[in-house]
Amino acid sequence: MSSRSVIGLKIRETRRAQGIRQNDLAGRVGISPSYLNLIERNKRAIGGALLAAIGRELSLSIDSLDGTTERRLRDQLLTLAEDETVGSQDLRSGDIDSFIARHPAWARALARIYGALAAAQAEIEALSDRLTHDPVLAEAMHTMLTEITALRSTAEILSDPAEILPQQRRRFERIVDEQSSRLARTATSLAAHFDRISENRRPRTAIEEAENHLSGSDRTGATETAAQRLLTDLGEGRDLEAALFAALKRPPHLPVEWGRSKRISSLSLAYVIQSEVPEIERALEHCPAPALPFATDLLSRRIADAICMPAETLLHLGSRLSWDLDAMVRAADGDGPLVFRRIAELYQAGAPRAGLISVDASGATLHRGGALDLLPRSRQLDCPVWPLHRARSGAVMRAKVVLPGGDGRQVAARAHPDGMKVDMLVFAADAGFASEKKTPLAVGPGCRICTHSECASRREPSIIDT
Amino acid sequence: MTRRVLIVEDEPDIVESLTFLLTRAGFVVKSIADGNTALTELTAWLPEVLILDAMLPGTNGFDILRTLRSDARYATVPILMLTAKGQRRDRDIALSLGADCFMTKPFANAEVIQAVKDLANGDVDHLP
Repeated sequence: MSSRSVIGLKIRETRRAQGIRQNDLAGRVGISPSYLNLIERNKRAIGGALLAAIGRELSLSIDSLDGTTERRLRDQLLTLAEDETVGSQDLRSGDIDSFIARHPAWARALARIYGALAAAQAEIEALSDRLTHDPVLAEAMHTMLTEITALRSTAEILSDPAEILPQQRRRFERIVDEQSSRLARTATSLAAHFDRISENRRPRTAIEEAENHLSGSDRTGATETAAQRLLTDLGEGRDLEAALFAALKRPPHLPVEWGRSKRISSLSLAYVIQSEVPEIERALEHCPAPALPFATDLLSRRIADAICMPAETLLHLGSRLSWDLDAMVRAADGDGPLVFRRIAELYQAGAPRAGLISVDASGATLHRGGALDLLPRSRQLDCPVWPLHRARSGAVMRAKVVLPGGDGRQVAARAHPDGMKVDMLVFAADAGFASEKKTPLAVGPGCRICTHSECASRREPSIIDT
Repeated sequence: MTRRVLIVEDEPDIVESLTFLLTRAGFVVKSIADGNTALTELTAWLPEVLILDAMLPGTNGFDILRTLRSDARYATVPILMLTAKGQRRDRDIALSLGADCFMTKPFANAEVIQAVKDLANGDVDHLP
């Protein structure tokens, strides 16, 4: 199937999805309904100004309309179909173009999942390779095993009830003392080696690159400046929702069940996307190309958040309510996600220092922001002990945790009202967000490689014999 | 008759505990820490059992094992191979080169002593 047929199908599917009649769209772009019908049935080629006009009317980029996006997606799905582990003959002979045109969201999701699988496989291979070939690791492991052997063998002798001469006993006690000191030193240097590996680790995914790129303080300043200017453009003193609605050329559809804060959030984002925002362009100047779409979305969302809740509003609210997160969410019309995002965004402007992790209902990490150094190194929080896996909507769950490696943190997790996402703020160990009386929860790297043998939340045995 | 065990191992504390245990079990024990001198020592002092570490300064344990098994004088000396790596590949190499028994560090004292006794008695069928 050619890109032309993809374009026709895409125009028809998008038009129908938006509830626009063929006659209406044809009228808006200045062609006859029958000509549009021919385009949609792939009987006429389309390009240039007409393609751009239809793209504008349907809010589709030229890239996605002229087939560039689909061709890229098609290549990814073809690779998946031909992959020995997940592909099959059925997939290879299936009509991928039709699938992309009819179910674009599913096709993109499938490509993303396959991309994530490939990234995970590459990481496993890299780790296996590191364990096998990293000379520092190999040497350290050999040294540790040798020291443990001497220690174990000597300790067994000392604990044996068989008689040992005092002189021999003293010699073996000296060995235990020396070997345990050596073992401690080797373990410390090994931990330092792992730390260095972790610090040198480059972002693995485009979204991670985008998050890292936007984590600098100058980005936060630019976000607030842009939001302030856009708010001024809307007119001082006007009702925000009404002003946003009036300013939008094409207001988004807002379901009737949405509350005011969710409506304003959606309108603000549409307003940022519609507006000229030079701060976005400047902030993304040195952003790696693959991360650009994600960084643009993240920054637009942040500016929209700053419109909904300017920095001074958040800081005043926090100060007035002593940073009681439940009270702050209530005061913000129940918009917990907005309060959490703004706290993480404004940690350099007076809010408590915090990182933010958002996960979906399956527990997969969608976004990391705020003070990234407070977050666990692993992007995926596979350990079931993490409070965000048990958070409910309507109340903030607070806890103290101990990360793998021993560092402490305080966390506050809250589910979105529909239960489909959870946000978790991660504070320093002494932040005062969790009761001092609470016992810290020991979180691990995920059951398969976790050494917490007595953990009540364990879902499967560890491959590490403890 | 006293039976002799030669330990080729470069970690002195492991040598000390093995020497103590094997002596207590009735063996006469000698040790060397360098792979290069192992063959010379064997010529002068042929043991009933050889305990051979895989990773040694100088010639490594696998090379010593290969040399011993290709020499008619040492082809039947029972050999217990020790390694700090538990990898199947090391085990396969050791056994294919003719080791009689293979143990990974950290080992239990009782298992090593029993294995040495079994090797000295020619009772090798059940050894790991």
